[in-house]
Amino acid sequence: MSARPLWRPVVVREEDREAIMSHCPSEDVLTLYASTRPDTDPDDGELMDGWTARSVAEHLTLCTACRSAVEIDLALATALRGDRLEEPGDGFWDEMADSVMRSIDEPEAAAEARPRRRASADEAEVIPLRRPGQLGRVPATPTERRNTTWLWAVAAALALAVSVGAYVMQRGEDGAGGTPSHGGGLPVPVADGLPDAAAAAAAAAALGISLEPIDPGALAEVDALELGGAAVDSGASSLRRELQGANADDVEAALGYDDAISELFELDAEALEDILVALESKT
Amino acid sequence: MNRVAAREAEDLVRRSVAGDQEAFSILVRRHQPEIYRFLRRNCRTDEDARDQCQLTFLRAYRNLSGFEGRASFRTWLFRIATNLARNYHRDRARKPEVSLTEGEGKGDSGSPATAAGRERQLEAKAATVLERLESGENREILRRAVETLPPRQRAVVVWRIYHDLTFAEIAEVEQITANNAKVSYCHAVKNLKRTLASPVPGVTP
Repeated sequence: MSARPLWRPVVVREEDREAIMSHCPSEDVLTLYASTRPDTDPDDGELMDGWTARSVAEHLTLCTACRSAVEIDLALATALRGDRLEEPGDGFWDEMADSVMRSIDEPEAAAEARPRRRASADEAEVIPLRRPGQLGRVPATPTERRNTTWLWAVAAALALAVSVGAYVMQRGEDGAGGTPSHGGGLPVPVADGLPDAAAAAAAAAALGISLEPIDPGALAEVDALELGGAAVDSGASSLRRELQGANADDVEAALGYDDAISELFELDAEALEDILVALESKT
Repeated sequence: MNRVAAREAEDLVRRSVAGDQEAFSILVRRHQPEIYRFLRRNCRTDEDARDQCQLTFLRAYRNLSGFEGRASFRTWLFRIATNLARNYHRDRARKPEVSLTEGEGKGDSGSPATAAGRERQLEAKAATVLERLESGENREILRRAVETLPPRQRAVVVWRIYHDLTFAEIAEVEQITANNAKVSYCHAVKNLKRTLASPVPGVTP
Protein backbone atom coordinates (compact mmCIF):
# COMPACT_ATOMS: atom_id res chain seq x y z
CA MET A 1 0.00 0.00 0.00
CA SER A 2 1.16 3.52 -0.68
CA ALA A 3 2.99 5.34 2.03
CA ARG A 4 1.26 8.50 1.05
CA PRO A 5 -1.15 9.84 3.72
CA LEU A 6 -4.78 9.77 2.74
CA TRP A 7 -5.44 13.23 4.05
CA ARG A 8 -3.54 16.37 4.63
CA PRO A 9 -3.51 18.42 7.80
CA VAL A 10 -6.17 20.98 7.18
CA VAL A 11 -7.94 23.59 9.19
CA VAL A 12 -11.71 23.58 8.73
CA ARG A 13 -13.97 26.25 10.06
CA GLU A 14 -16.56 25.11 12.58
CA GLU A 15 -19.48 26.33 10.46
CA ASP A 16 -18.29 24.10 7.58
CA ARG A 17 -17.70 20.98 9.62
CA GLU A 18 -21.34 19.85 9.68
CA ALA A 19 -21.66 20.02 5.90
CA ILE A 20 -18.39 18.17 5.40
CA MET A 21 -19.42 15.35 7.70
CA SER A 22 -22.89 14.87 6.26
CA HIS A 23 -22.14 14.88 2.54
CA CYS A 24 -19.91 12.36 0.81
CA PRO A 25 -18.09 13.77 -2.20
CA SER A 26 -18.87 12.18 -5.53
CA GLU A 27 -16.82 9.22 -6.69
CA ASP A 28 -15.22 11.36 -9.38
CA VAL A 29 -14.05 13.93 -6.87
CA LEU A 30 -12.47 11.17 -4.78
CA THR A 31 -10.77 9.75 -7.88
CA LEU A 32 -9.36 13.14 -8.80
CA TYR A 33 -8.25 13.66 -5.23
CA ALA A 34 -6.43 10.32 -5.28
CA SER A 35 -4.73 11.17 -8.56
CA THR A 36 -3.13 14.22 -7.04
CA ARG A 37 0.59 13.84 -6.96
CA PRO A 38 2.05 13.92 -3.45
CA ASP A 39 3.91 17.15 -4.12
CA THR A 40 0.88 18.92 -5.52
CA ASP A 41 -0.32 21.96 -3.72
CA PRO A 42 -4.08 21.55 -3.08
CA ASP A 43 -4.49 25.24 -3.69
CA ASP A 44 -3.02 25.17 -7.20
CA GLY A 45 -6.51 24.71 -8.61
CA GLU A 46 -5.58 21.90 -10.98
CA LEU A 47 -7.97 19.32 -9.61
CA MET A 48 -10.41 21.39 -7.62
CA ASP A 49 -10.47 24.61 -5.73
CA GLY A 50 -8.61 24.79 -2.44
CA TRP A 51 -11.72 24.74 -0.30
CA THR A 52 -12.97 21.50 -1.92
CA ALA A 53 -9.57 19.87 -1.59
CA ARG A 54 -9.42 20.71 2.10
CA SER A 55 -13.01 19.56 2.58
CA VAL A 56 -12.27 16.18 0.99
CA ALA A 57 -9.18 15.78 3.15
CA GLU A 58 -11.21 16.55 6.24
CA HIS A 59 -14.06 14.28 5.14
CA LEU A 60 -11.67 11.37 4.69
CA THR A 61 -10.77 11.55 8.36
CA LEU A 62 -14.42 10.91 9.18
CA CYS A 63 -15.87 8.61 6.46
CA THR A 64 -14.58 5.06 6.09
CA ALA A 65 -16.44 4.42 2.82
CA CYS A 66 -14.82 7.34 1.07
CA ARG A 67 -11.46 6.48 2.61
CA SER A 68 -11.63 2.95 1.23
CA ALA A 69 -12.58 4.34 -2.18
CA VAL A 70 -9.56 6.62 -2.13
CA GLU A 71 -7.39 3.71 -0.93
CA ILE A 72 -8.40 1.68 -3.98
CA ASP A 73 -7.69 4.57 -6.32
CA LEU A 74 -4.31 5.13 -4.70
CA ALA A 75 -3.46 1.44 -4.90
CA LEU A 76 -4.47 1.42 -8.54
CA ALA A 77 -2.37 4.47 -9.38
CA THR A 78 0.58 3.02 -7.45
CA ALA A 79 0.27 -0.32 -9.26
CA LEU A 80 0.07 1.44 -12.61
CA ARG A 81 3.13 3.55 -11.85
CA GLY A 82 4.97 0.43 -10.73
CA ASP A 83 4.38 -1.22 -14.09
CA ARG A 84 7.52 -0.05 -15.81
CA LEU A 85 8.38 -0.88 -19.37
CA GLU A 86 11.53 -2.79 -20.13
CA GLU A 87 14.25 -0.47 -21.27
CA PRO A 88 15.27 -1.07 -24.88
CA GLY A 89 18.69 -2.51 -25.53
CA ASP A 90 21.91 -0.62 -26.16
CA GLY A 91 21.93 1.34 -29.35
CA PHE A 92 18.15 1.30 -29.69
CA TRP A 93 17.76 5.07 -29.45
CA ASP A 94 20.66 5.78 -31.80
CA GLU A 95 19.32 3.32 -34.30
CA MET A 96 15.85 4.79 -34.15
CA ALA A 97 17.10 8.36 -34.50
CA ASP A 98 19.26 7.35 -37.47
CA SER A 99 16.30 5.60 -38.99
CA VAL A 100 14.17 8.72 -38.60
CA MET A 101 16.82 10.89 -40.23
CA ARG A 102 17.22 8.40 -43.07
CA SER A 103 13.45 8.48 -43.61
CA ILE A 104 13.62 12.25 -43.86
CA ASP A 105 16.30 11.97 -46.54
CA GLU A 106 14.33 9.35 -48.43
CA PRO A 107 10.70 10.44 -48.39
CA GLU A 108 9.65 7.78 -50.88
CA ALA A 109 11.09 4.99 -48.76
CA ALA A 110 9.43 6.45 -45.70
CA ALA A 111 6.08 6.47 -47.45
CA GLU A 112 6.52 2.81 -48.26
CA ALA A 113 7.45 2.04 -44.68
CA ARG A 114 4.21 3.60 -43.50
CA PRO A 115 2.01 0.91 -41.96
CA ARG A 116 -0.91 0.09 -44.16
CA ARG A 117 -3.91 -2.12 -43.76
CA ARG A 118 -3.08 -5.45 -45.27
CA ALA A 119 -5.56 -6.88 -47.73
CA SER A 120 -6.90 -10.30 -46.99
CA ALA A 121 -6.51 -13.16 -49.44
CA ASP A 122 -10.06 -12.65 -50.68
CA GLU A 123 -9.46 -8.97 -51.32
CA ALA A 124 -6.30 -9.73 -53.26
CA GLU A 125 -8.06 -12.00 -55.72
CA VAL A 126 -8.74 -10.30 -59.07
CA ILE A 127 -11.78 -11.39 -61.03
CA PRO A 128 -11.63 -10.16 -64.66
CA LEU A 129 -14.92 -8.83 -65.98
CA ARG A 130 -14.02 -9.81 -69.54
CA ARG A 131 -12.14 -12.71 -71.00
CA PRO A 132 -8.40 -12.24 -70.97
CA GLY A 133 -8.34 -12.10 -74.77
CA GLN A 134 -10.84 -9.24 -74.74
CA LEU A 135 -9.04 -7.16 -72.18
CA GLY A 136 -7.28 -4.13 -73.56
CA ARG A 137 -3.94 -3.00 -72.29
CA VAL A 138 -4.30 -1.74 -68.73
CA PRO A 139 -2.30 1.44 -67.99
CA ALA A 140 0.59 0.41 -65.82
CA THR A 141 1.00 3.51 -63.69
CA PRO A 142 -1.35 6.14 -62.25
CA THR A 143 0.45 8.77 -64.33
CA GLU A 144 -0.30 6.86 -67.51
CA ARG A 145 -3.92 6.48 -66.43
CA ARG A 146 -4.16 10.22 -65.89
CA ASN A 147 -2.67 10.86 -69.36
CA THR A 148 -5.22 8.52 -70.92
CA THR A 149 -7.98 10.51 -69.28
CA TRP A 150 -6.56 13.71 -70.74
CA LEU A 151 -6.55 12.18 -74.22
CA TRP A 152 -10.22 11.35 -73.89
CA ALA A 153 -10.96 14.91 -72.78
CA VAL A 154 -9.08 16.38 -75.78
CA ALA A 155 -10.92 14.03 -78.16
CA ALA A 156 -14.28 15.08 -76.69
CA ALA A 157 -13.37 18.77 -77.04
CA LEU A 158 -12.41 18.24 -80.71
CA ALA A 159 -15.67 16.43 -81.42
CA LEU A 160 -17.58 19.32 -79.86
CA ALA A 161 -15.65 21.85 -81.95
CA VAL A 162 -16.39 19.94 -85.17
CA SER A 163 -20.10 19.79 -84.28
CA VAL A 164 -20.22 23.54 -83.66
CA GLY A 165 -18.35 24.18 -86.91
CA ALA A 166 -20.77 22.03 -88.89
CA TYR A 167 -23.70 23.85 -87.33
CA VAL A 168 -22.22 27.21 -88.32
CA MET A 169 -21.64 25.98 -91.89
CA GLN A 170 -25.21 24.72 -92.11
CA ARG A 171 -26.54 28.07 -90.95
CA GLY A 172 -24.46 29.74 -93.67
CA GLU A 173 -25.98 27.50 -96.35
CA ASP A 174 -29.53 28.11 -95.12
CA GLY A 175 -29.14 31.90 -95.17
CA ALA A 176 -30.21 34.06 -98.12
CA GLY A 177 -27.65 35.84 -100.32
CA GLY A 178 -25.56 38.64 -98.90
CA THR A 179 -23.89 38.41 -95.51
CA PRO A 180 -26.32 36.83 -93.06
CA SER A 181 -25.50 36.70 -89.36
CA HIS A 182 -25.06 33.18 -87.97
CA GLY A 183 -25.75 31.87 -84.50
CA GLY A 184 -22.79 33.60 -82.92
CA GLY A 185 -23.55 36.86 -84.70
CA LEU A 186 -20.48 36.72 -86.97
CA PRO A 187 -21.24 37.75 -90.55
CA VAL A 188 -20.20 35.13 -93.09
CA PRO A 189 -19.93 36.31 -96.71
CA VAL A 190 -22.31 34.34 -98.90
CA ALA A 191 -22.28 34.12 -102.69
CA ASP A 192 -25.10 32.41 -104.62
CA GLY A 193 -26.59 31.02 -101.41
CA LEU A 194 -23.29 29.38 -100.38
CA PRO A 195 -20.60 30.58 -97.97
CA ASP A 196 -17.67 32.33 -99.51
CA ALA A 197 -14.98 29.81 -100.47
CA ALA A 198 -12.24 31.72 -98.64
CA ALA A 199 -14.32 31.92 -95.45
CA ALA A 200 -15.14 28.23 -95.67
CA ALA A 201 -11.46 27.39 -96.13
CA ALA A 202 -10.53 29.51 -93.10
CA ALA A 203 -13.21 27.85 -90.96
CA ALA A 204 -12.07 24.41 -92.09
CA ALA A 205 -8.46 25.25 -91.25
CA ALA A 206 -9.48 26.50 -87.80
CA LEU A 207 -11.36 23.27 -87.15
CA GLY A 208 -8.56 21.13 -88.50
CA ILE A 209 -10.71 19.46 -91.16
CA SER A 210 -10.84 19.55 -94.98
CA LEU A 211 -13.93 20.65 -96.92
CA GLU A 212 -14.37 19.78 -100.61
CA PRO A 213 -15.91 22.63 -102.72
CA ILE A 214 -19.34 21.86 -104.24
CA ASP A 215 -19.13 20.76 -107.88
CA PRO A 216 -20.88 23.30 -110.19
CA GLY A 217 -22.13 20.39 -112.34
CA ALA A 218 -24.03 19.01 -109.37
CA LEU A 219 -25.71 22.39 -108.89
CA ALA A 220 -26.82 22.35 -112.57
CA GLU A 221 -28.33 18.90 -112.10
CA VAL A 222 -30.32 20.14 -109.15
CA ASP A 223 -31.62 23.07 -111.22
CA ALA A 224 -32.60 20.71 -114.03
CA LEU A 225 -34.51 18.51 -111.69
CA GLU A 226 -36.38 21.49 -110.28
CA LEU A 227 -37.26 22.65 -113.82
CA GLY A 228 -38.45 19.16 -114.74
CA GLY A 229 -40.72 19.13 -111.76
CA ALA A 230 -42.17 22.47 -112.82
CA ALA A 231 -42.84 21.10 -116.34
CA VAL A 232 -44.71 18.11 -114.92
CA ASP A 233 -46.81 20.44 -112.80
CA SER A 234 -47.53 22.55 -115.84
CA GLY A 235 -48.52 19.47 -117.87
CA ALA A 236 -50.90 18.33 -115.17
CA SER A 237 -52.56 21.74 -115.12
CA SER A 238 -52.99 21.62 -118.91
CA LEU A 239 -54.52 18.16 -118.71
CA ARG A 240 -56.91 19.34 -116.03
CA ARG A 241 -57.97 22.28 -118.25
CA GLU A 242 -58.36 20.03 -121.30
CA LEU A 243 -60.56 17.57 -119.39
CA GLN A 244 -62.74 20.36 -118.04
CA GLY A 245 -63.28 21.70 -121.57
CA ALA A 246 -63.91 18.29 -123.25
CA ASN A 247 -67.28 16.72 -123.84
CA ALA A 248 -68.53 13.49 -122.31
CA ASP A 249 -67.38 11.36 -125.21
CA ASP A 250 -63.91 12.74 -125.01
CA VAL A 251 -63.67 12.06 -121.32
CA GLU A 252 -64.86 8.57 -121.79
CA ALA A 253 -62.33 8.09 -124.53
CA ALA A 254 -59.62 9.50 -122.36
CA LEU A 255 -60.57 7.17 -119.56
CA GLY A 256 -60.07 4.32 -122.01
CA TYR A 257 -56.40 4.92 -121.74
CA ASP A 258 -56.12 3.19 -118.41
CA ASP A 259 -52.43 2.72 -118.57
CA ALA A 260 -51.80 6.29 -119.55
CA ILE A 261 -54.00 7.58 -116.73
CA SER A 262 -52.29 5.39 -114.19
CA GLU A 263 -48.94 6.64 -115.33
CA LEU A 264 -50.26 10.16 -115.08
CA PHE A 265 -50.67 9.66 -111.35
CA GLU A 266 -46.98 8.73 -111.20
CA LEU A 267 -46.29 12.14 -112.71
CA ASP A 268 -44.32 10.63 -115.59
CA ALA A 269 -43.73 13.43 -118.13
CA GLU A 270 -43.56 11.01 -121.07
CA ALA A 271 -46.91 9.33 -120.29
CA LEU A 272 -48.48 12.74 -119.77
CA GLU A 273 -47.34 13.82 -123.19
CA ASP A 274 -48.90 10.71 -124.72
CA ILE A 275 -52.21 11.47 -123.07
CA LEU A 276 -52.15 15.00 -124.35
CA VAL A 277 -51.44 13.76 -127.89
CA ALA A 278 -54.29 11.24 -127.67
CA LEU A 279 -56.69 13.91 -126.45
CA GLU A 280 -55.65 16.27 -129.22
CA SER A 281 -56.20 13.57 -131.82
CA LYS A 282 -59.67 12.81 -130.40
CA THR A 283 -60.74 16.39 -130.42
CA MET B 1 12.81 22.96 -17.73
CA ASN B 2 14.94 25.91 -16.77
CA ARG B 3 15.19 29.09 -18.76
CA VAL B 4 18.47 28.19 -20.49
CA ALA B 5 17.17 24.81 -21.58
CA ALA B 6 13.95 26.38 -22.83
CA ARG B 7 15.90 28.92 -24.86
CA GLU B 8 18.09 26.18 -26.30
CA ALA B 9 15.01 24.17 -27.29
CA GLU B 10 13.50 27.20 -28.98
CA ASP B 11 16.73 27.72 -30.89
CA LEU B 12 16.78 24.10 -32.04
CA VAL B 13 13.19 24.34 -33.22
CA ARG B 14 13.90 27.59 -35.06
CA ARG B 15 16.90 26.05 -36.82
CA SER B 16 14.88 22.95 -37.69
CA VAL B 17 12.13 25.06 -39.21
CA ALA B 18 14.82 26.79 -41.27
CA GLY B 19 15.84 23.37 -42.64
CA ASP B 20 18.76 22.48 -40.35
CA GLN B 21 18.58 18.67 -40.18
CA GLU B 22 21.29 18.49 -37.56
CA ALA B 23 19.15 20.56 -35.19
CA PHE B 24 16.16 18.35 -35.88
CA SER B 25 18.29 15.27 -35.20
CA ILE B 26 19.08 16.65 -31.74
CA LEU B 27 15.37 17.20 -31.10
CA VAL B 28 14.62 13.63 -32.19
CA ARG B 29 17.19 12.21 -29.78
CA ARG B 30 15.89 14.40 -27.00
CA HIS B 31 12.20 13.55 -27.31
CA GLN B 32 12.12 10.04 -28.74
CA PRO B 33 12.19 8.19 -25.37
CA GLU B 34 9.04 9.94 -24.15
CA ILE B 35 7.24 9.52 -27.47
CA TYR B 36 8.25 5.88 -27.74
CA ARG B 37 7.13 5.07 -24.19
CA PHE B 38 3.77 6.70 -24.76
CA LEU B 39 3.30 4.78 -28.01
CA ARG B 40 4.57 1.56 -26.45
CA ARG B 41 1.72 1.74 -23.96
CA ASN B 42 -0.72 2.49 -26.77
CA CYS B 43 0.42 -0.07 -29.34
CA ARG B 44 0.18 -3.81 -29.31
CA THR B 45 3.81 -4.63 -30.11
CA ASP B 46 7.26 -3.08 -29.81
CA GLU B 47 7.52 -3.05 -33.57
CA ASP B 48 4.27 -1.11 -33.96
CA ALA B 49 5.40 1.39 -31.33
CA ARG B 50 8.69 1.85 -33.14
CA ASP B 51 6.95 2.40 -36.49
CA GLN B 52 4.54 4.91 -34.99
CA CYS B 53 7.41 6.70 -33.24
CA GLN B 54 9.31 7.10 -36.51
CA LEU B 55 6.15 8.27 -38.18
CA THR B 56 5.62 10.85 -35.44
CA PHE B 57 8.98 12.49 -36.11
CA LEU B 58 8.59 12.17 -39.86
CA ARG B 59 5.23 13.89 -39.70
CA ALA B 60 6.65 16.53 -37.38
CA TYR B 61 9.49 17.25 -39.80
CA ARG B 62 7.14 17.55 -42.76
CA ASN B 63 4.86 19.91 -40.85
CA LEU B 64 7.52 22.02 -39.19
CA SER B 65 6.42 25.02 -41.22
CA GLY B 66 3.00 24.73 -39.57
CA PHE B 67 4.43 24.80 -36.05
CA GLU B 68 3.40 28.20 -34.73
CA GLY B 69 4.99 27.97 -31.32
CA ARG B 70 1.75 28.53 -29.42
CA ALA B 71 2.31 25.24 -27.59
CA SER B 72 5.73 23.88 -26.68
CA PHE B 73 7.48 21.66 -29.21
CA ARG B 74 7.15 18.77 -26.75
CA THR B 75 3.38 19.23 -26.49
CA TRP B 76 3.16 19.53 -30.27
CA LEU B 77 5.00 16.21 -30.66
CA PHE B 78 2.71 14.62 -28.06
CA ARG B 79 -0.28 15.80 -30.06
CA ILE B 80 1.04 14.18 -33.23
CA ALA B 81 1.78 10.97 -31.36
CA THR B 82 -1.66 10.84 -29.77
CA ASN B 83 -3.31 11.36 -33.18
CA LEU B 84 -1.24 8.54 -34.65
CA ALA B 85 -2.14 6.30 -31.72
CA ARG B 86 -5.80 7.04 -32.36
CA ASN B 87 -5.42 6.14 -36.04
CA TYR B 88 -3.59 2.98 -35.03
CA HIS B 89 -6.47 1.89 -32.83
CA ARG B 90 -9.02 2.80 -35.49
CA ASP B 91 -7.19 0.59 -37.99
CA ARG B 92 -6.88 -2.24 -35.50
CA ALA B 93 -10.55 -1.99 -34.57
CA ARG B 94 -11.39 -3.52 -37.94
CA LYS B 95 -9.87 -6.76 -36.75
CA PRO B 96 -11.76 -8.82 -34.19
CA GLU B 97 -10.28 -8.86 -30.71
CA VAL B 98 -11.24 -10.77 -27.59
CA SER B 99 -12.50 -8.41 -24.93
CA LEU B 100 -11.13 -8.77 -21.45
CA THR B 101 -14.54 -7.98 -20.01
CA GLU B 102 -16.51 -10.08 -22.44
CA GLY B 103 -19.75 -11.41 -21.03
CA GLU B 104 -19.81 -9.38 -17.86
CA GLY B 105 -20.85 -6.03 -16.54
CA LYS B 106 -23.98 -5.71 -18.66
CA GLY B 107 -26.18 -5.90 -15.62
CA ASP B 108 -24.16 -3.33 -13.68
CA SER B 109 -26.61 -0.57 -12.93
CA GLY B 110 -23.99 1.87 -11.63
CA SER B 111 -23.56 3.28 -8.16
CA PRO B 112 -26.31 2.75 -5.63
CA ALA B 113 -28.43 5.68 -4.64
CA THR B 114 -27.58 5.71 -0.97
CA ALA B 115 -24.26 6.26 0.74
CA ALA B 116 -24.72 3.05 2.73
CA GLY B 117 -25.26 1.04 -0.43
CA ARG B 118 -22.23 2.55 -2.05
CA GLU B 119 -20.18 1.83 1.04
CA ARG B 120 -21.13 -1.85 0.91
CA GLN B 121 -20.39 -2.03 -2.79
CA LEU B 122 -17.03 -0.33 -2.37
CA GLU B 123 -16.03 -2.63 0.46
CA ALA B 124 -17.00 -5.68 -1.59
CA LYS B 125 -15.06 -4.48 -4.58
CA ALA B 126 -12.14 -3.29 -2.50
CA ALA B 127 -11.32 -6.80 -1.36
CA THR B 128 -11.13 -8.14 -4.91
CA VAL B 129 -9.34 -5.15 -6.41
CA LEU B 130 -6.81 -4.78 -3.63
CA GLU B 131 -6.19 -8.51 -3.57
CA ARG B 132 -5.44 -8.52 -7.26
CA LEU B 133 -3.31 -5.42 -7.15
CA GLU B 134 -1.19 -6.89 -4.37
CA SER B 135 -0.82 -10.29 -6.02
CA GLY B 136 2.24 -11.17 -8.01
CA GLU B 137 0.34 -11.30 -11.30
CA ASN B 138 -1.12 -7.83 -11.11
CA ARG B 139 1.20 -6.51 -13.79
CA GLU B 140 -0.25 -8.68 -16.54
CA ILE B 141 -3.80 -8.09 -15.35
CA LEU B 142 -3.26 -4.35 -15.23
CA ARG B 143 -1.74 -4.22 -18.68
CA ARG B 144 -4.58 -6.13 -20.16
CA ALA B 145 -7.07 -3.96 -18.29
CA VAL B 146 -5.44 -0.79 -19.64
CA GLU B 147 -5.46 -2.27 -23.15
CA THR B 148 -9.22 -2.68 -23.01
CA LEU B 149 -9.80 1.00 -22.26
CA PRO B 150 -11.19 3.18 -25.03
CA PRO B 151 -8.35 5.07 -26.81
CA ARG B 152 -9.11 8.48 -25.29
CA GLN B 153 -9.30 7.12 -21.73
CA ARG B 154 -6.17 5.05 -22.22
CA ALA B 155 -4.26 8.06 -23.53
CA VAL B 156 -5.36 10.23 -20.61
CA VAL B 157 -4.32 7.57 -18.08
CA VAL B 158 -0.93 7.12 -19.74
CA TRP B 159 -0.29 10.87 -19.89
CA ARG B 160 -1.38 11.33 -16.30
CA ILE B 161 0.18 8.30 -14.64
CA TYR B 162 3.34 7.65 -16.67
CA HIS B 163 4.21 11.10 -17.97
CA ASP B 164 3.00 13.20 -15.04
CA LEU B 165 1.17 15.66 -17.27
CA THR B 166 -1.27 18.01 -15.59
CA PHE B 167 -4.86 17.93 -16.75
CA ALA B 168 -4.29 21.27 -18.46
CA GLU B 169 -1.40 19.76 -20.44
CA ILE B 170 -3.42 16.63 -21.25
CA ALA B 171 -6.21 18.87 -22.50
CA GLU B 172 -3.77 20.64 -24.80
CA VAL B 173 -2.35 17.39 -26.17
CA GLU B 174 -5.71 15.70 -26.63
CA GLN B 175 -7.32 18.90 -27.86
CA ILE B 176 -10.12 18.75 -25.33
CA THR B 177 -11.00 20.85 -22.30
CA ALA B 178 -9.38 20.25 -18.93
CA ASN B 179 -12.75 19.19 -17.51
CA ASN B 180 -13.14 16.65 -20.29
CA ALA B 181 -9.68 15.32 -19.48
CA LYS B 182 -10.70 14.92 -15.83
CA VAL B 183 -13.93 13.19 -16.78
CA SER B 184 -12.05 10.82 -19.12
CA TYR B 185 -9.61 10.03 -16.34
CA CYS B 186 -12.43 9.28 -13.88
CA HIS B 187 -14.15 7.04 -16.40
CA ALA B 188 -10.88 5.23 -17.06
CA VAL B 189 -10.29 4.59 -13.36
CA LYS B 190 -13.87 3.39 -12.97
CA ASN B 191 -13.45 1.00 -15.91
CA LEU B 192 -10.14 -0.31 -14.58
CA LYS B 193 -11.66 -1.01 -11.17
CA ARG B 194 -14.63 -2.73 -12.77
CA THR B 195 -12.31 -4.90 -14.82
CA LEU B 196 -10.14 -5.79 -11.87
CA ALA B 197 -13.17 -6.64 -9.74
CA SER B 198 -14.53 -9.06 -12.33
CA PRO B 199 -13.29 -12.51 -13.32
CA VAL B 200 -10.83 -12.25 -16.18
CA PRO B 201 -11.02 -14.98 -18.81
CA GLY B 202 -7.67 -16.58 -19.35
CA VAL B 203 -5.99 -14.89 -16.40
CA THR B 204 -5.81 -16.45 -12.97
CA PRO B 205 -5.44 -13.83 -10.26
